Amino acid sequence: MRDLTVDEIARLGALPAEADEPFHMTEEAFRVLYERTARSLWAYLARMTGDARLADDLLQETYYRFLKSSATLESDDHRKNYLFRIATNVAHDARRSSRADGADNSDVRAPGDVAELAARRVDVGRALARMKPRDRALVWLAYVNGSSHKEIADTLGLKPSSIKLMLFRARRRLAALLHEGSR
Amino acid sequence: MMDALDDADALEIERALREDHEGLCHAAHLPDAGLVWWRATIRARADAARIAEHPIAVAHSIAGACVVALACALGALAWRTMPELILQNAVPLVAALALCLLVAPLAVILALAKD
Repeated sequence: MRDLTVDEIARLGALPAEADEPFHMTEEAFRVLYERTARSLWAYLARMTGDARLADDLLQETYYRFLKSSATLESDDHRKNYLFRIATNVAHDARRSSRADGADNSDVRAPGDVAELAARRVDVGRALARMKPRDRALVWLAYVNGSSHKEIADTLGLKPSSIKLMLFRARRRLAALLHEGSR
Repeated sequence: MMDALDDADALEIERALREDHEGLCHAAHLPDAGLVWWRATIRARADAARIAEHPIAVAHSIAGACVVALACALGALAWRTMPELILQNAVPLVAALALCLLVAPLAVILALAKD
């Protein structure tokens, strides 16, 4: 996204009153949702893209799309699942555009202060990076988020009946990659 | 036997992924919610302004095309009704037309700069 100039921001400040509240939720409600979901969402984006810096940008994009959407979401769980669905699409778009640019997103940041844990995370990061994007999302949603098969299907746009088998295969693949990496 | 192996895999994967997730969450340097909200607001306004300006740009284009068409029609009418007069005053007419072509874009630029 192009950065706005100071002039453009000043001009936007002079827009009519209906532009003051462009979203379906208040800032206070957004803060609560953000505190509850941002870390988990960032971790998901970081692993889906394999690029921590890109995840920073995509986090902003995900919340922007969420705020602009007109979907009616009854509970916090619905909102969280919807956020992850948007994040999946955003990561997919980023992957497509980086493929078009020929960019290399292999910058997997391995933060942390305990060397062993960091090494393990790098292993997991590398193993996930070698999986298909859909399989990566499947195992993450199932084992990190604890999503049900139906929720996973909703998030990834798949049939709920096919999740069990796909998850089984993805898990096998990840296990093999982790074992391969630990040898 | 296969089921037991599979369960062991599932447990190991769950543990590895959760550790990975916790480590990433712990190390994430996230912007403040207020900053994310502010950026989203600015972008929403920019998008709204862009959408609002689109019909104006279209109207300007249509108006410009109409003016050019009208000028051509008037020119053709004048040529049909009094060609001798036009031929006699060809040089001043061409000069006036060239002046208009030069001045019109400048006027548009100045008007937009004032906005």
